[in-house]
Amino acid sequence: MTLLILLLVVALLLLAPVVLHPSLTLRRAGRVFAFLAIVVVPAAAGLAGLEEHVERTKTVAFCTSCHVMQRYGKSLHIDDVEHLAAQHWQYNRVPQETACFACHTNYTLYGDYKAKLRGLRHVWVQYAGTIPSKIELYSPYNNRECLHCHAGARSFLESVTHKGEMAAIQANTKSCLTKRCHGTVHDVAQVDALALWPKEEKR
Amino acid sequence: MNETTLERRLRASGGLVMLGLMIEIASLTWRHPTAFILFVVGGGAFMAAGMFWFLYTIVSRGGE
Repeated sequence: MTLLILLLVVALLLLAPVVLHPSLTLRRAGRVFAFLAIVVVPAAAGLAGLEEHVERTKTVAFCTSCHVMQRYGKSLHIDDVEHLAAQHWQYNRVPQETACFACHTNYTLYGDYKAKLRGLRHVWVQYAGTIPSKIELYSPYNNRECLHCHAGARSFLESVTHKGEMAAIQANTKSCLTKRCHGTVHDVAQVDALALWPKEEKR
Repeated sequence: MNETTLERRLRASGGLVMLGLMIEIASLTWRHPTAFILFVVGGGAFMAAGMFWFLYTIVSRGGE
């Protein structure tokens, strides 16, 4: 972050001679300098800044900075392993800092980009649209996202329930989030009434 | 294109890129979805405009 700000400041400083003394471009070396100062260095600094912003969009703190998502963030702290999101977060089954993104991206070639584009749409809806009273996924949750981590894991393969349903799970014809399986994900309706972990934190 | 026009255009394009960079720096100090929008739409647009104006200026000068 410090390096990035430094790069942006250097890019800014390099522009000063071009803005203050544009006559320097009358010479060949001056034109090369102007090209570097106006195009090459700012473009590099801008891309580095974009990368930093994109990485930030993957954090739980970023997702829950919108009011509508705060209860979903709180549901990660529910003190009950039956709650899927809470269990994954509390037992480090997903990186805690980027827990939302770990489950809500598509593990496909352009999955991350699609997730980011949906995020941009969400910001638009936040300011210019109507936030739906009930937040829903765009499409039913695909088992592919679960299997990205769980496929091949001993705990998953050796589960008697999974063994009996393996073909259907892999073909995504039976959802992992079926009521009788892992149906409780983010219980945002009940989250205020449930015990939280860690207990000492007030949320 | 005379020298004064060229200098004015270079100053303008450099100024636009500078403004874009300042917006980008400001957006990086703020951790919020709006900061991302500010970075892309605000900073990115000014920077792109400045770069385009600079490239247009040197290309159009080369044609004279």
